[in-house]
Amino acid sequence: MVCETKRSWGAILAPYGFLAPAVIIVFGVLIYPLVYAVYFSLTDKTMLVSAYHFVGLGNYIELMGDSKFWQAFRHSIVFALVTGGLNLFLGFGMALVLNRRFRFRGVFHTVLLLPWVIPPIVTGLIFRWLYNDFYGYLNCLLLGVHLIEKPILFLVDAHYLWPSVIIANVWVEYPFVMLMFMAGLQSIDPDLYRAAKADGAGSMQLFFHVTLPGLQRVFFVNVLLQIIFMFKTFNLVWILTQGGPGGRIELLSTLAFHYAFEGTQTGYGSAVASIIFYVLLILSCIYVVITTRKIKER
Amino acid sequence: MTMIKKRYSRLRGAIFYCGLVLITGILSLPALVAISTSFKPYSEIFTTNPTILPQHFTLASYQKLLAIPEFPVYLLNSLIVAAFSAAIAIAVGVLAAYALVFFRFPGRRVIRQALLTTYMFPAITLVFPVFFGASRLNLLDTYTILILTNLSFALPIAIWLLLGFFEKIPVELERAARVDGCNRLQTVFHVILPVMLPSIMAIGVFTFILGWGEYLFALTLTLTDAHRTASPGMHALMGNYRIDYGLLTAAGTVIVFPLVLLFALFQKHIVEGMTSASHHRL
Repeated sequence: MVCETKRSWGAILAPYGFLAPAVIIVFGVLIYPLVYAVYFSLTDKTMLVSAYHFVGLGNYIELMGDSKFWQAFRHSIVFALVTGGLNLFLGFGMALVLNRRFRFRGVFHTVLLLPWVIPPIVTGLIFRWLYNDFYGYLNCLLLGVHLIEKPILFLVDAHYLWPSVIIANVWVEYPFVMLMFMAGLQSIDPDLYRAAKADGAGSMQLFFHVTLPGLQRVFFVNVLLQIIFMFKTFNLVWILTQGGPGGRIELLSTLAFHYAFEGTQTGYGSAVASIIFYVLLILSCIYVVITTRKIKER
Repeated sequence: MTMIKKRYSRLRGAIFYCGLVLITGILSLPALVAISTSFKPYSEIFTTNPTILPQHFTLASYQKLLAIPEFPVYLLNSLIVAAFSAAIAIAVGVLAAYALVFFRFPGRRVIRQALLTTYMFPAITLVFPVFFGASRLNLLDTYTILILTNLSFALPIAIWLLLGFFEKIPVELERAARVDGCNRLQTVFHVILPVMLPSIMAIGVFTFILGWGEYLFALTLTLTDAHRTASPGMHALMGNYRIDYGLLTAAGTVIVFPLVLLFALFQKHIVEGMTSASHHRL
């Protein structure tokens, strides 16, 4: 750095040149559409008529009195907390298991990670088949052991709809959490374990006094990431249920899709979609503020 | 005493192993059931007494799948869209990540944070404006719009992972190249790329996997079979062959197979990338 006191314009502008393509693409495919979505949410735009007018906060005010919106909001919160929670639980558990040394560990690792690369439409197909009312494995199994008398409509029945959809989601989402926790476990200094063992700590004490404190940051990051990812989720819920009969599992994302594309009310649907963005923006800000504060402490 | 201890630990190991096999079995059952259904004859699929493995192994469902002329087109479209978006994400991402790691300049932290937080943008919010923008620019039902929309997640992920890898390159290596007379671009091509090639390929494979099965944009921005990728194609098949689960699971198996192969080949580097990326801070 010392020898670089005399820097030409080229050298000063070089980093911006390297970054320009990325920044242009991000503006084009992320920022610009996002700003437009927020703008649409302030208009009465529809799918069918090209002319539209600015209506200010009209759509948002209407949403406040829309019971479907509040229902979807509640559903989205519950879905994010339950699915995210289960992902964390299973992901952390399996990470602890895979962190041990045993034979064929690599094979188990690969097999357990595989659901992660399955596209949502195929996951949807897999679970639709598994949950099928006449020939699906689950119903045949439950009927076979006489736990039930007639087939369960897993994706329709009010009692089973939520668990069925959540299980399918957890199946594809937990491997990511598992991977993050495995990374976290590997980053804990082995000397800490050695020192604790030398002091006579048992495996429980090692877990509570070395492992858990060492994973503090990983836990925090993953909890927030899971809430963010699960709050905006759309694909699998849409493929499996399209919001469910009578909107029983209608999330904000599926409601926005219903309003904007199927109901052709683009403006109103955009207001719902924008609200998802506002919630995520607040969560992302918390994430950034707390992670950067942690850096300064260190 | 040691004998007992040894036996005890062996017992514990066996219990651990059994538990692990059981859990892994349960977790892979959904996929296994689907794959085995695709190799079953009709009579074994539509029975109230299904077996996990096919009794009579048959390729009938795959033959039926081959008779659908659109299906290979879906796969080809997925290949084109995913390959181009992965290539662009890598090319653009390498330059950006290089600048963010090896340059010191005003605005570095802000740009870095902004690029990374875009990963959290909800696709459902982007899809309506993209749809209208594409229709105004006559880009509906084209490869171009699918490649561009794939970049909305492929690029931030690529940069995020690349930063993790680049931060592990010793600064001295990069310095040495420049002292030897390389300019910045030459440094990227002659020093960074050769050192990082396996990792960069792994990131390319990962973004390819995501692009291959992308659902929401592909569903809303394609209108005809000519440009449908695997996901909307599969969606159409699930509508047209609603209950033919032999055919559908065969299609699903074919769609997933290349991804599993790619993932298995590059798993080590992909996992390594996620690991180092998860350590670095925003």
